[in-house]
Amino acid sequence: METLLKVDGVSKKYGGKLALNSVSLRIGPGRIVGLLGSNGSGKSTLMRIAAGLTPPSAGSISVLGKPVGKETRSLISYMPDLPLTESWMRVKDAVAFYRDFYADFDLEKAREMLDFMSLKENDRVSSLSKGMGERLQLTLALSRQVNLYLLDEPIGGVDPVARGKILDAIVRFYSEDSSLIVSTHLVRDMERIFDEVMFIQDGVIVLHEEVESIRINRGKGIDDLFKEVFGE
Amino acid sequence: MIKLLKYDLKRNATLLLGGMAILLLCEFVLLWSRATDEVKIVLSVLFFGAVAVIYFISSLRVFDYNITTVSRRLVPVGALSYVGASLLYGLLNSLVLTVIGAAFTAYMVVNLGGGFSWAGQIPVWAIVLIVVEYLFLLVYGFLTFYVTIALARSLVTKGVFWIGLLIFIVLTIVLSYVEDFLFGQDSSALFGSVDLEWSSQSGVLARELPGLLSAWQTWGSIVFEGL
Amino acid sequence: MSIEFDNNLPIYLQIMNHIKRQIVSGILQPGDKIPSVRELAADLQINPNTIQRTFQELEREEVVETRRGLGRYVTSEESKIMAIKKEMAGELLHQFIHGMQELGFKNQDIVSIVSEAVAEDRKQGVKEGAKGGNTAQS
Repeated sequence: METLLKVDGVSKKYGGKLALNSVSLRIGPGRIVGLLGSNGSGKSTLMRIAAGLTPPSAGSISVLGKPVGKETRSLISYMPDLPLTESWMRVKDAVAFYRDFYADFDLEKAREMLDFMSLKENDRVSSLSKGMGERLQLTLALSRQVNLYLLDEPIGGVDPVARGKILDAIVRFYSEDSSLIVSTHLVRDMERIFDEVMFIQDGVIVLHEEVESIRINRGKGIDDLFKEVFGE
Repeated sequence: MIKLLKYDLKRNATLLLGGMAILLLCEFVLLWSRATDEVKIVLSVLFFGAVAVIYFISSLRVFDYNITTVSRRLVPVGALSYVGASLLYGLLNSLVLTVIGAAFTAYMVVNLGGGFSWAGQIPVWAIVLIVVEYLFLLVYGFLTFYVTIALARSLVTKGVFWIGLLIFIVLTIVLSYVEDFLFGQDSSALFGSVDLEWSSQSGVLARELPGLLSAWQTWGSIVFEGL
Repeated sequence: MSIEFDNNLPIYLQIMNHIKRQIVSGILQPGDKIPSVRELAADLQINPNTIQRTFQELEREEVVETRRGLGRYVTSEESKIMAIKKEMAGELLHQFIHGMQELGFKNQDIVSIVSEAVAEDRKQGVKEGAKGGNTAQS
């Protein structure tokens, strides 16, 4: 099957700072990939470029062979680390929004997941706690049938119960034709759901390996390796 | 585009409906109050103007929202849809206000003496021309502001809306000088009220505007694609 | 189902051992259906590909078999089950003997200590028998 995401020599400059430095990578289908790095390492920037929110300063990036742009918006489901919902909305309005704009939105799946996450249709978005808000964001992002899901810090600042539910949802709604890239700095909680991980540091990908290979070859888990590489 | 409009309206529903309700209330109170005619006219125009300004700013904020917010920009619609939706929002509100305004004006004219005897002397084509000119002015006005907001945003990406507003006010002043230079006309005529005299001047004005409009439109769409 | 996983060791191996222990202790009987990749992945919150790999290995070792259209089942072959028991017991024994040797016991002593311990354990088992304690370990 085709490469799902292809990044070729992508760099991104913000003012004088180089947030991404000639990043290249390939992601195939059916993978859950961890994009790991400390805050400011460039992982959010990489995701935003892949989602088409901002253009790279150099290099190219494509999804299923198509350069990132208006066309790829319907191939990618991006969940940023800020809320996508509007304060006047209730859960059902947020769902309606997605249904209105995204042809690939699966209403049944969304309802199922809302139920699973204990979210009620009439809940006001503004009255949801951070954890519930994240659950909603994730539900909306994962209810779209696309090829590439980009989740930016899905469990950051969320209580352990919600964390469990979110990880559960990610694993449950996985499919072999699509891939997920999850960026996080909470490695220990998430390392078991990854097929492969990419370590990014100062805008450079310093490692990109299969998770079990790391465990077998280096005799340590991702969290320990992470601490080693990033020197916490 | 219409979908975007739907959500823009929903998001601002409280503002729009509230504003309209207050305006209607104030106008009705004024009409039935025992103030002098002059006071009534002045105050009603004031109220009206205030709400019009609020609506206008709301329309600018809607545009800014459409080109800034992540949730909008992730949606698979063309760049022009954002402009279109904001424009429709602005136009819709303007039309509603115009209708309310016209209704009250008519009521006042009837009640305060005068009446519409002079109305029969206006040929139909002139009325159509006024309406078209009015629409052009509105669209042109909105687009000019949109372009300046878009430009401002490309500079101040994450700032609060009001900073952008300041920048575009500055840019607008600059632009009006540019227009003066290009067209040798008093720039207030382009932004000003519709002239009630049906001379051939109206025809000229209407023809000037499309030229500027299309220029702004193409410039605008280039900027939006870039954003 | 909750298992204590060690993130520093290959997960798929740990799941394999877990399933083998379940078979050995009787929680999974010969011929029982095991959960699908999806179910297990969701239950344990583990990447489905890892589960897939586990199952592939288990199949390779003939511990489980796939019945087309129906799912995966624990092998019904008693000999295979016995082999697994021995394999797991072997590990346990090896660790135990090594531990005892480290404590200073000689091999003959280890044998007698074990006999005594088993006898003690049986007596305890009779007393607690009424409680219907399930001694199966995971």
